[in-house]
Amino acid sequence: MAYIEARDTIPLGPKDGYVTVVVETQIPQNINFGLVLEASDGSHGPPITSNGDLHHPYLLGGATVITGKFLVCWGRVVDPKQGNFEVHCEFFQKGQLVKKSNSAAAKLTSNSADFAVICLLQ
Amino acid sequence: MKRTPGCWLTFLGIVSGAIPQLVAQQAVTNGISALPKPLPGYDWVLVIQADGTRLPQQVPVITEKAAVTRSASASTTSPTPSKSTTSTQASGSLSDALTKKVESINLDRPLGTAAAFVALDVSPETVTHPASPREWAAALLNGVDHKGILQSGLAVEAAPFQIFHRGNYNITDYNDTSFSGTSRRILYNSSVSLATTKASSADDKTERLSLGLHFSLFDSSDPKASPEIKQIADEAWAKFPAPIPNAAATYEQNAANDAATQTAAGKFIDERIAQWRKEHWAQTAWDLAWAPIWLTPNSNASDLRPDGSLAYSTFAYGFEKDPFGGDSRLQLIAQARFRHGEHVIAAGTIGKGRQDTLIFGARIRYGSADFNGSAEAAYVRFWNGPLGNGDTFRYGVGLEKRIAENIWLTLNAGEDLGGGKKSGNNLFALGGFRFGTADKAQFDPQPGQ
Repeated sequence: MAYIEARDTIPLGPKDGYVTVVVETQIPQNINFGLVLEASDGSHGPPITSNGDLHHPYLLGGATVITGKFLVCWGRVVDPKQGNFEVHCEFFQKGQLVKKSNSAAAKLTSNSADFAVICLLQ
Repeated sequence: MKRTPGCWLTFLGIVSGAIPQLVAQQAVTNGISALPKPLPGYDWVLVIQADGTRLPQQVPVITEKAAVTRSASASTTSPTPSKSTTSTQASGSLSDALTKKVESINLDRPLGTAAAFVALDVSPETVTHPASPREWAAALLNGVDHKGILQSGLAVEAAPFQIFHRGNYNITDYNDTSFSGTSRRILYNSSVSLATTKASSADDKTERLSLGLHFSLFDSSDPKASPEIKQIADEAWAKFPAPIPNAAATYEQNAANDAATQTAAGKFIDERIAQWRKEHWAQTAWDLAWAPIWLTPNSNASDLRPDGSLAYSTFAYGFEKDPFGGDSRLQLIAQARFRHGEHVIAAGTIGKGRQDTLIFGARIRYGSADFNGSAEAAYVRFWNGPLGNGDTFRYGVGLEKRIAENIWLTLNAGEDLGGGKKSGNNLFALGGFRFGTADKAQFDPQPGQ
């Protein structure tokens, strides 16, 4: 089982409005993921976890509050067919797409893999 | 002249062309009382003609000591078996040979034992398991030195389907019960083995090589085919979720932290599967194997020549429930083994030939993976060989107790009957230790991994 990680920086616009995120993925048969906002010292609040419930927007908070924090999306993809998988986050501010993050993507070499997409919000 | 069933089998074999050689010699040891007593120093030998008839001929008797001397001096006063070093040296009498054969029967081998090891009757301590085409090629190259000399003690076992189609086959395909799916599963669990062994005598450079093919046709103790294994995996995922990565840490640190969790999950799965194996001990399984054998008189790979083949099949039936109402298991195991065309030369008399051997073995076993008792019986029949035709029978009982992870204490007792019986007391009692890998108790069907 492998660990695949992608990192990116998300430039937020004027520091107003709420920021939301959607986790997008392709092809995996099953994906368990969580979202958490982390401070630069590694501390974080309670995570949100989901079992394969994709395309659901999650509210991260006001832009002024979350600037300087990391949005960590992590989880496990399970695919006995050992196909390709790809996970990325899409950030929205005041309903407008800000940026698609880099992808954590690979072809599975076993039945599952752990992944992480770590985005610095600035 | 009295014809034994073995004689008829020899005859039928020649007529049908199933036995390649047209002439075979048999030492006449029994059932020819109509013939006059041979001259001193001579014995009767039946020479089978090309048309199937048998002509008794008197030939000089060579003692084992004289045979060795004659072979060394290349005397022409009596026929010296040609290429004697390439033959299996049979015991001095049919009775001894049968006794030796029945004692060599190893019904303790797990079903998954590599066919080449069974064919050469070896239990190598170290077996090379190449996991890639490159490792496979390297293992083969290690079997022959730069002068073409076959290396003794070679033991290689590999699953070609797993090596060459590793990325194209998954657990969903594995559990496909269609004809093609079943065929692929059998191929996935099939193994190819290669082994060499040298003659036991120090000055005998004869070396044997066997290439074995083993097929596991059915195995109800295969965890990969069980839906319970998926439940174990799901349980492991729930118990060991992916850890939250630390944004301030490096990729290597996060990967190491994730790997620790995965290792813990893997250990959990291994333990649960080991427990599952114990609970599914002594199940139903069926395997099939074939191993052609070659020998070389001087260890040179270029002088390899056929030495027949071994074919065998083992079927084990595990009862679903303990017939006595407990938690133990009852299993019936039967094995048929046919060794064809083994080049045998009698050490104590004149004669050589291609001997065929048929072995039937059966065992009933009751107990658990850690402690079980068994009763077994084995039947051995020779024919076509230089010692003539014959058969023998053995039965016995045994107990097996696991005293450590890979060590079993065994106790066996029984009796030899029939042509292989020794003079006097035919009872035997054996005690000892058996070493093996975990969960491989006697006849425990091990699926290919």
